[in-house]
Amino acid sequence: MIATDATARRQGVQPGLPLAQARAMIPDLHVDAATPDRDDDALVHLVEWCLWLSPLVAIDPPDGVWIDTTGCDHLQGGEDAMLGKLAAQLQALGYTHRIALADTPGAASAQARFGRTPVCVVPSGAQRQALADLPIASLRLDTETREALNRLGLRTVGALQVAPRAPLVRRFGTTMITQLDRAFGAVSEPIRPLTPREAVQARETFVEPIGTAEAIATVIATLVPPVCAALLARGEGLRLADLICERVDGTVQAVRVGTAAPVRDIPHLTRLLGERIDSVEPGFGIEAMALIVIRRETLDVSQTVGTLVAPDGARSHGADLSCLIDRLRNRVGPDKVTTLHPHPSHLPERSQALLPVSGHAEENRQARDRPPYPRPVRLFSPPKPIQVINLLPDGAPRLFVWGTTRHRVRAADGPEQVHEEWWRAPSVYGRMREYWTAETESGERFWLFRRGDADVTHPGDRSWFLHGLM
Amino acid sequence: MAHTHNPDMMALLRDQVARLERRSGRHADTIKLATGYDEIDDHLVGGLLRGAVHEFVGGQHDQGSCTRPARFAASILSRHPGRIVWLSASRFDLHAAGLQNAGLDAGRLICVEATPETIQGLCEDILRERGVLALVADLDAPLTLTASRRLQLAAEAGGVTGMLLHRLPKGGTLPASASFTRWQIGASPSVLLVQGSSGLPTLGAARWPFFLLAFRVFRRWHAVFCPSGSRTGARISTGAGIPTTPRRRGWCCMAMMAVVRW
Repeated sequence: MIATDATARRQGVQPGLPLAQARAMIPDLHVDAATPDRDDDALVHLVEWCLWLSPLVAIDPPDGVWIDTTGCDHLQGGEDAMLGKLAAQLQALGYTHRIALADTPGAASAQARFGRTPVCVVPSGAQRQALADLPIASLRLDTETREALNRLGLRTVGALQVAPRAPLVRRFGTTMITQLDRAFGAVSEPIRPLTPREAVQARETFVEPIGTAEAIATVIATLVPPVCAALLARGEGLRLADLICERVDGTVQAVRVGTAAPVRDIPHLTRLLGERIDSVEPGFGIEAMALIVIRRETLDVSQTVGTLVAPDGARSHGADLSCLIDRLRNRVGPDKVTTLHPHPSHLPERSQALLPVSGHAEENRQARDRPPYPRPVRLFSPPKPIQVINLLPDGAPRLFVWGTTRHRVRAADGPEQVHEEWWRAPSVYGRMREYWTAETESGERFWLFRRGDADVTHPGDRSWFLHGLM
Repeated sequence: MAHTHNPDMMALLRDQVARLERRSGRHADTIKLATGYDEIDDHLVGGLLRGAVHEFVGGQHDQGSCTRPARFAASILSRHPGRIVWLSASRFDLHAAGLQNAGLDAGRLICVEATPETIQGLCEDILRERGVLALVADLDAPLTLTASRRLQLAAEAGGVTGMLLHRLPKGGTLPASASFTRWQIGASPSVLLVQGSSGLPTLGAARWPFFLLAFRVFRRWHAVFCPSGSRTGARISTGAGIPTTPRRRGWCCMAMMAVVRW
């Protein structure tokens, strides 16, 4: 028998009893075959579930969970409230539980397994008193040591505390004393925290510190494939990742790369990270490197059409440029790689927006038909003020001075009236611009506008600006 | 699973074959970018060479902003499918409606704002990227001969056409370069027909003189076209010589140097 429930224990069936004997005691005993693997899986699940309480959780085999609640209790309203909440949730999940809170993992483990009450808080620094009554089995010793100590009459932790240490070490080695010191906090006990199953990462530690760009590139080439394989298994792609370089002097350098679209292509990622090698300062050497995926997104597998089937022109037109775009974004900055999007506005400088770019060309529906009005390819921002001479106040410009040059106008088209967007600011209500395309005597064409008000009696300052060349 | 993500072998092989065939001069449409102006296309035997670097400078008052060359580049690229990377060494000043007037869908552009220090490296990197139709770069400072040769080699290796739009200070000149062609686009008075209501004649069809300032095969040439209106571009006049101004003599010398070098 490995485990029994409360009903069976009341009937006298204890763990450790041979099955035949238990069947003899209770003929209609319900017995299930033990499945240690599934028990371990369930324990790992339970440990992952405990991540809501604290980021540092670990397995205490065979049936325990360690939670490092340092700095977490105030989030739940104090230690007692936290334990109460944990107990209630475990109850709701259907687990029979014993919880102990102590300064050290060893003391908590001993109290939880051998303490008197199901939920117990060991006051800070009171491990010696709390553990004194517990049997020595609570120290997680091996069976031989336990039996030898029993033969010597040392049955409780308290008895072990007062016994002289030197003969004990000589007889049993340092292991037992270390366990005792760990439980009391004299020696710190490291726990190996469980990394959440959600984290996709790869890590390499080196025998000797590395420092050259070639070595870093080699490490990147070994880190990327397992990450890509993990992403493929999840059906996801990478959006943001950190390459962590741990240096010999204890400092950590992080190189962050982002992608425009989810990616799990090995050459793509290797190249992306490889371009950032020069931003790594190896110092005295790097002793460990890790690639950690910070943000992921779902990436569906799509069928690629072979070039034998696809028409010839489709190759360059539909080519996926996400790799190039990602490299550009990581070199000049994500906000500097954009595409021009039309924006519904009549004001030329507001009729477009620079938006983040995607890997595939976007077919612009509105771009099919050309705008009916002349527009320059480049806009002066801000428009350049010019002096204009015109014969009539509302007439075409006859002569304008831009900088130090006089331009005599020989032909002009216009005016094209554009109203300012009064719904954006009340001060521009009623304002408008009159655009003219003017050809000078040398044949060059300028796109000018006059700022003014639509009100005929108060026409505004009527200043002229040059907004572009045609 | 990873091998399915690799670049398609067939596409790569086709690319290589096309680049081999370039030397024999066949398949003009796969190795040339037709400009849409018949005169220019005839003169260049099909259009601007793909996988090469072409330089453009503005004429007259357009030297500082390089607007007409940008419009010319947009009208060439609008005739060919594929995505275009438009690099700028300073703030971006393109106007989407103007590009659409030139026929180019602004959604095909990938606009990159770089700095004068980084733009040369970025140009080289993009020129080596297969799958891009062309790179257009607004340059505020002229390239050195070494830098332009690097760009030309990168374009030949990657098969991407490079178009460098040089913004020059007033009266500035360009040093020699290893680019395949160099163009200056000026403006000349249009033919005025109709008197407008504003007291001035309305605009006729615009006329742009194109000066082929430097060409590796050394054929000086110029022609005047209407950039707007019909897409084919009505030829107005052509000539074998460049009008002689003191500055253009400098261009000729540079072209001779190109012959010696190549």
